Amino acid sequence: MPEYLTIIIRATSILVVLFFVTKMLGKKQISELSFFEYIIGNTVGSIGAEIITGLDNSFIHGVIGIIAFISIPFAANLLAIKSKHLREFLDGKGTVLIRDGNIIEKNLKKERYTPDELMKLLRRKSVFQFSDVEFAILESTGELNVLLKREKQPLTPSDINLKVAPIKEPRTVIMDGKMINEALEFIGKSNEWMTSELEKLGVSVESIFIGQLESNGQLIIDQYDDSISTNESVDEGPYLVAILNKCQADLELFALSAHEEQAKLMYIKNSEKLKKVIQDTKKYLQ
Amino acid sequence: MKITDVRICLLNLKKVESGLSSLSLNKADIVAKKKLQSAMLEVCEVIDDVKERLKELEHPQR
Repeated sequence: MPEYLTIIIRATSILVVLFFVTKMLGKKQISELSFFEYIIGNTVGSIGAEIITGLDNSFIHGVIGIIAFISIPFAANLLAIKSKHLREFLDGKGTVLIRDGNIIEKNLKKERYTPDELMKLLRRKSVFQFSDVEFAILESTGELNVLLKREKQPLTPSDINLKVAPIKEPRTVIMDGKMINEALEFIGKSNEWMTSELEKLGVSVESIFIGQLESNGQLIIDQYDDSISTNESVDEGPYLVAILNKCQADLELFALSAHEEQAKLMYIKNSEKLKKVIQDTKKYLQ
Repeated sequence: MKITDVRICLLNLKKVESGLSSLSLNKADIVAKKKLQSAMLEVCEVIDDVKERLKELEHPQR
């Protein structure tokens, strides 16, 4: 067998072996390599390269080397799930760099981080003043996680006692001028419903690049023709609240001017009912 | 108070009812759906009462 053919065969089989072996280790590797895992990855790669081109060496020996190098961390990971101590030993522990707004110089030195590097990591988290930070921890992956001081944290609806309706993720229902049937099925809408919705907007499916269905049922589209913009649809919710308020006020007024006692009571009862409805649904109609 | 005022009110109530029903159909969130549906039913009851009253006003029994 000519040498180049051997190399091709070896390369393909190593690729297959590496593919399955790395699958076995799970998704974690891609995003957060610990130093240990980083070295293993490098070594396995080197062994692979060595087997492919080093024709004098045995192929099987190389594969055994790779499997050994992968199965040890695999076993270590399995054990680490069971034991916290082993986990800390293998993956390392986070180091607190800022506590109560104070930089802990001792820990900074221990991790061999310079003040410049600390500031760089903080800036990566959009923090430009270390005085804004209540607590910061350097994770074993080298990432700095920051808890801002209470007064520097972004304002959320609950901070101002604002009631908001829960939202669901929007679904992309049209792509490249075609309806995506699985997405429609998932949210329980039919093709016909979609077609009638598009008719309301006065566009055809073919002219739409991307169409998304928001959680409140609104369809938002982008057309191929960029000179047309069709997203000025009115949100019905606030409009309904306004009419409801008006009706409630009307009923109250009727109650005041009604002559018969029975009618008066009826108006008052219904006005109260509407009041309750407004209270209950306001959140969902914003 | 004029009969027309009551009529307009009834009309607005019906508008709200249909608006609530179409919104509740479109909502993706189950809780929101249920809330809007029950609100629609409440409005429905109000409509019935106002309708009765309108009948009385239009055909007063003497």
